[in-house]
Order: sequence, then C-alpha cells, then structure tokens
Amino acid sequence: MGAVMSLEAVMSSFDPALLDDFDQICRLSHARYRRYPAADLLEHDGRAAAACTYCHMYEETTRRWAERAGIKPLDIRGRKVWLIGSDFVVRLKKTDEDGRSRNYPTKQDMEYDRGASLPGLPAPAIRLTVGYLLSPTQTDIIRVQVSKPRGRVIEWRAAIVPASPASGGKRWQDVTRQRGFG
Amino acid sequence: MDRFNPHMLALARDARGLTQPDLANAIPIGQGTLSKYETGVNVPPEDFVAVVAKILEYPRSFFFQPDRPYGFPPFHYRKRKKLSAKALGRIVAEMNIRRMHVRKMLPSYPIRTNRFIPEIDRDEYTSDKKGRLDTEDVARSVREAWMVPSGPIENMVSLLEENGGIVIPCDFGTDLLDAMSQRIDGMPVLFFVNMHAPADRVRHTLAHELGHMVLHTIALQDDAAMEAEADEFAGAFLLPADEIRPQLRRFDLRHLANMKGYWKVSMAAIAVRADRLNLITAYQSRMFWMEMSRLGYRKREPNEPAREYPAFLQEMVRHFAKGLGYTREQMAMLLDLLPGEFDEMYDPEVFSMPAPTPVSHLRVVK
Repeated sequence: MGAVMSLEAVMSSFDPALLDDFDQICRLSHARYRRYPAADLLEHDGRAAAACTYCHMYEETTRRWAERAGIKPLDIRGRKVWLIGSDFVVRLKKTDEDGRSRNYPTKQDMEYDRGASLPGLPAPAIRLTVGYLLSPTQTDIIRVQVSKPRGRVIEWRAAIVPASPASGGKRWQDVTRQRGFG
Repeated sequence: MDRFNPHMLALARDARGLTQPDLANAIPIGQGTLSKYETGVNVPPEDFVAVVAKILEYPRSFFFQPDRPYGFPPFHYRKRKKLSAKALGRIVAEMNIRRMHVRKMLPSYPIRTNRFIPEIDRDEYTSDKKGRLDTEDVARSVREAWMVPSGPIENMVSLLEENGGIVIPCDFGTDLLDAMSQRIDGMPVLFFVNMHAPADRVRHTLAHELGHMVLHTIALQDDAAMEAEADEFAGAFLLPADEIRPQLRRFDLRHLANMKGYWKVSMAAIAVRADRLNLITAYQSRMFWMEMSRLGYRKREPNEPAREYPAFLQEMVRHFAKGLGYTREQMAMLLDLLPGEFDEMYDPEVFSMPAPTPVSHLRVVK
C-alpha cells in the first residue's frame, strides 16, 4: 500500500514548475483538441473527445519530461504513468468534480486506486491522478486538479492555481468536497 | 434657396434622446413655439437654427435636408411596446439618419451585384403543402437562389451584403431590440443591427430580419404570426432540416456546443429548431431550458462564434475617400454631420490609408 501523506505535504513537496507542467499539459492538450475542425468535433462523442485529448496529453508530457531529471515514465501493462522522484506516481485523466474518472475502471485501475502492488510500480510511491475538469459544455477547462484516490473514495483533491500575477504566489487550493453536518 | 425641413428638427432631437420640453428648456423657448417649428406650422428664424444646431451638435445644413423620415417597420410590435418613447425615438432617428447617409452615397458608388433579396407574394406562392406557405420551403428557395452551399452559413453579414442588402452597425442603447430591417424603393434592403449583441444572436437576428423582408414585404399579418414565421425562417435558413436531423441523434450540452461551433448558431436556437422539427421530446426540451437557466446560459452562452463585421458601408466611405478624393471634412459635409460625429460613425482611418492598387480585370488577347 502507498505511504500516507496529507494533501498539504504532497502538494507542498511539488516543485511549482511541475505544477505548471500539470496545468499546461492538460490545458494545451484540450485546447489542441478543440482546434480540430468543427465538423470533426461534431462526430465525436465524449469518449472520443477524452481519448483524443489523452493522446495529446501523453505526447505533450513525453515531450516536456523527456529530459527532466527525477521523472521516469512507466508502462504498467499498458497503463502509462510517471514516477516523480521516488515518492509519487501520477497518471493523467479526464475527471469529474470529485477527481474521479468517469469510465468503467478496469481491474488494474481499481488496483492502482487501492494502492495495491502492481508489477513495475514502486510500492511506497503515492498514487495520484492529475485530471482536468471540463465546463458543462465540455469546451473549456474549469480547473486542473490533483486527486488522491483510495479505492473508490477520493481522499483529497487540490486544484492547481494557474501561474499569474493575480494568484499571489498561491499554487494550489484544497477543493476536497466537504462532508455535510450530521 | 434651401428650405428648413421641420422633420429634420424632430429627427435631430430624437437622435439626441431629447423630448420637446427638454429641448425647449435648453434653447430656451416655449414648447409651443418649438412644436410649431417641428410640425411646420411656423418657419423658424435663422438665429433659432444656429442655436438648435449648436445644442444638438449637427451642422446647420442638417436641418435643410429635403429627405423625410420613415417610421418603425410594421413588425416588432411586441418589442416596440416594451421600449420607452424616448428609446424608440432614438432608434428610429438613428435608422433614418443612417438611411439618409446611404442614399447620399449610393449615386456615386458602383454596386457590384445584381442579386437581390426576394419578396414573396403569399397569394401567388405555390408550395408542396397546399393552402399554406411553408417557411422551410421558402428558406430553402432563398438558399438555392443565392447559391449557398449546404452546411453552415460562413458569414451571415457578408451573405446579405453580397445579395443586395446593406448591414448597418448601430448602437440602439437597449438590448430589447437586436436588429431592424427596411425595404424602401430605389434602395438596397437595409439591416440595422445592434452590434453589442452576442455574435451568434446577431447572425440569428439577421436571418430573422431576412425572413421579414422575404415574407412580409408584400402582405402583412398579425404581429405574433409574423414574428413566429420570421423565427421559423431563420431556423430553417441557418439550420436546414435535412442536415441537422441526423446530427440531433444526440441531444446534450456537449453535443449542442459542438453543433454551435459548426453551425455558428446559439445552442438555444438549435434547441428551438430541434423542438420545431419534433426531434426532441417535451421532456428533453424542458430539461434543456432548466439546465440553461441553471448555468446562466440563457443570458449569455459560452463559445461565441467570431463576430461578423459589415463591410459595405465602410467600403462606400473608402470609395469616397480614395476613389473620389473626398477629405474627412467633405465627407462630414456630404452626410450633414460634424467631423467628430462622422469619426464616431465611420472609420476615419480610411483617409490615412494608401489607395488600393488598381487591378485590371480584363485585357484584350490577340
């Protein structure tokens, strides 16, 4: 099982440049997908849109992190993930507001989320999902977020604050769904 | 000798959004005196014209133009009821002033098209559906007559201008009215459009106005019926049934947003069209409008298409500046405006641009 670390500990340990990369990878890839001819977009369903965007995300990530020290791409039986240092493993997904991916999870996905041991994946590394949340029309990205799954539950999720003068140096924000009273 | 035109006094006052008492107080004179000048009962003295020209910021010549103003088109009755008299007066005045500008420039401007905006005589129109004018059929005929290829209309403004219309950008100062159209003998059809409206709405509104021009020039009907018909025409013109039918097998916001990107028509207009064509159920329609309200999209939708800008009027001014050698001041004089207002209404930069290189189109081949 993966090590236990709080949201603050995980997010603070990321280099701001890496958070920028997460944000840019998702936003640029989605923007690239939206530049497809309108007639082609019209023939895509949500699944095709997510698959195309994912392909751009994967290529963008590969380009950006090819020479980056401390980041290693891993292919776990077809599941593409990146080992960051020795503490974190991230995968890229389209997610909902809670940080869950919408598609039906494979057995391997469930094991990844549970933190179960997978061949080729360092056991103590914390498994994270870097995902993008789309607007209701799915034409714009509302936010890029990092979430920590634990089985079917999302333990926490943090929105990446895009680098801008208005952000005041704040690079992430806790957006974990609050439990109701009672 | 020029004659004072009382209509122009009322027009200038309306254009500035002033009531008779407002102007009478500003001059100052009694409202009765002003009223008599405006109705032509009395002819104002020269010093009155000088004062009123200064207050209303028009040149003296404005009040001596021989033209006459036209009223509000016979449609848009419901919208007209919602507008205040002042707002209505301002809009009608702007429409008339713009129309007068076009009339002054037209004789010296070569119009390069022999296409026209058709008008349908309901009594003589024959369609497949007996006894009833079919707007789908009319919209298809207009597309065919103008040789519009299947698929989305790339640029609604250009299409109108290429086919005998002139689109005139206006600032109506209200969002109750997006556009108006006017067909006057001896002139191209004029479409006055509020350019502050979202781009997808401008496209739909222009198609709606085109519907009025095609369907309601010869015979008028009940206002509600005319509005419904013009709206149906706009939907059929922008979203031909045979093309959108297969696309509407899915009906959700994501798909509608993609359809909007393709057709450059608002999601709301697509939903209305789908409803009219019975492609969605009443429940789907209700849920769609609830979702649109919840997201605040009924006021302004996301993913606005690129704005379309009218070119005809600007081309006319450019022709006067570069082809006929008019200066900015002479243009202002021609249009009976002060140079400052001319700059606000038309792009004064055309006067500093280099003249376009003449292109020879034909040559003799021996």
